[in-house]
Amino acid sequence: MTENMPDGVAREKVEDELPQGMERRLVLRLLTHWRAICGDRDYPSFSEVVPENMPDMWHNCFVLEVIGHEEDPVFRAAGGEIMSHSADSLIGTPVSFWTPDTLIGVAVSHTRDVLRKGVPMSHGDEFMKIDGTRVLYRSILLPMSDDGETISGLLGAVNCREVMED
Amino acid sequence: MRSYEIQLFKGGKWEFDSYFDDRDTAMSDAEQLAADIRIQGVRVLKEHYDQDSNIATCDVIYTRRRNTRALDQGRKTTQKIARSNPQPTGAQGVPRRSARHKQVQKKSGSPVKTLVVFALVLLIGGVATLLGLGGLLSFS
Repeated sequence: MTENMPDGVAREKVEDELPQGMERRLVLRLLTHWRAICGDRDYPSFSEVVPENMPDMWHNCFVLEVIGHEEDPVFRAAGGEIMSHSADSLIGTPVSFWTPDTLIGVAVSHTRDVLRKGVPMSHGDEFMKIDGTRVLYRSILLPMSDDGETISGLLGAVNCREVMED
Repeated sequence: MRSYEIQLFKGGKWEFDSYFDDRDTAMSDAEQLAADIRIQGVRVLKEHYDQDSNIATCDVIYTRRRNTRALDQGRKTTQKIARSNPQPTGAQGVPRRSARHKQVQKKSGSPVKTLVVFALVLLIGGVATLLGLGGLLSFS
């Protein structure tokens, strides 16, 4: 894969940036991290989610606030990669604002299922962007709680790959 | 519509842990969990929901259970060995093989007794024979 590359420039795979032996799939890495901070409890707290402790994941993560927005949770925080996928301002918008032809829209499409079942859920599929580009994605939503019992928010993550049609 | 549900064995029962719509990701996660020694058991259920018939079928496609009983027994055996090794000369520390050897040594003493008894029988027999012969001579 060195075609159209300037001299002296090497293509570096994204996977090469991760340490040897580390799980490549973002959703599994985040799920493992969530379980680690969760311990024996049902849900971890948002205070335990420290972006600095998850530098390989945070740029693909987002936070949804549920308390006070049970029917339509709103975005409270997001990593840089997620922000780059939203032309409009993401923070403060409800999940219903995002349509299924956007990466953010598909990432939060199972919000109700996670709130109903109360367990982590991961989904992967493809969608067509408004410009006709096919995008493969995989997302995860993880329940969080400030009191250890009631779900007060969701920690989510999504990554994607655009498919070039011939 | 298919989904893969991961369940963990906790406190004697299976509990929901997470859902995936992708088999590979679910299986990878299950194997990762199974490798964790703190987790007693992991299983993956494949759920197939047919919207036309409104029927859902569920199959267990992966199960790993830690054999806690075997682990406990292994631990007990280790404890026994550990207890016997520090006292090799004490009563509790005598290996069974030595005890068996001692019993064999005790049994090996009994032929001596037999020889003594046999010697006594011969002696008494000899004396009786002499007395008998003496009686015959005096009669004649």
